[in-house]
Amino acid sequence: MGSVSISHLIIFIASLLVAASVAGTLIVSVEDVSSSVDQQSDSLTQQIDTDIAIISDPSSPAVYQEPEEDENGSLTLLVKNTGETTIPTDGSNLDVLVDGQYRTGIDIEVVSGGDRWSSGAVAEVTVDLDDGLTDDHRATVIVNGSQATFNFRV
Amino acid sequence: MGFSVSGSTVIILIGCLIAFSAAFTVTVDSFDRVTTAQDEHADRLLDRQNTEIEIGDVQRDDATLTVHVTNTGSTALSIDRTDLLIDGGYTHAEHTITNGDTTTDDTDLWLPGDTLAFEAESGGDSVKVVTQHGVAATADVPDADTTEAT
Repeated sequence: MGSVSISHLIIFIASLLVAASVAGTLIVSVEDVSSSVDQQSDSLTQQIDTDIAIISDPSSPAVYQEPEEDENGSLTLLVKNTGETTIPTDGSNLDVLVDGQYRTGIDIEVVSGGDRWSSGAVAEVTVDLDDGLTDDHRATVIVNGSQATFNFRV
Repeated sequence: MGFSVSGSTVIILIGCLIAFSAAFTVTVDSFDRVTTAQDEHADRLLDRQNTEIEIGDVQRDDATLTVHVTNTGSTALSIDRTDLLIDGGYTHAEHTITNGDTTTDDTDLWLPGDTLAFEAESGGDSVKVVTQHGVAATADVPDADTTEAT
């Protein structure tokens, strides 16, 4: 009789351990998924809150600077933050494509006053061009998935 | 045997409850955050569609360029967030607001019907005014001897 209750006790403890490990795994997995959902919603929110517009005058000569003797040509775009978020001015969130080609060597300077590229502020985005441009071109600025395209003629 | 089943069932049930409550809180928070962002986005789009400006007249008096812009839409705009480009270059300009007979430069609100006058020292040939939502209007600057808008 005693051996029966001991084996019952062992089975009881074992079943509790198995149940606890199942419950623990379940909780950890669900927390993992929850934190991913949280991050995803964060980035989605930031994406929805970010909006930009290129306000440069396409017909003005201020957009494209010809290459000079010791300097490459460059493209200067005035980009307005029409969203709700502040965009970092170190270029970490900003990509520029010229004619579909990814460009590096981007300089961002806020020109509307203040240091921060906050909502409503305008920044001058200068892109170094290794080669001179002629004819029609298309520049695209992408920030947090929000993009603006600008067509201009040189 | 009976105790084993009910004991483990209770533990799994409690685990399920904890997991569900964690997932529920996060899901509701996330959904709420995204919905709020979408609401604000829709508001911004509506404001943009309700925004309209019209450049009235552009005058050049020696080196001073005066641009009169009227808010012909139905949204109140922020003057601080309104930009003036002269010949494609960003320009900081003095501004005054005129509503009927009243003129003031001590406000940031550009209400529907108000005329905003920018005054800048420049010899540029074209001006562009951009509102906070990105709605823009462009005009050419007439020669110094004429004062008519183009």
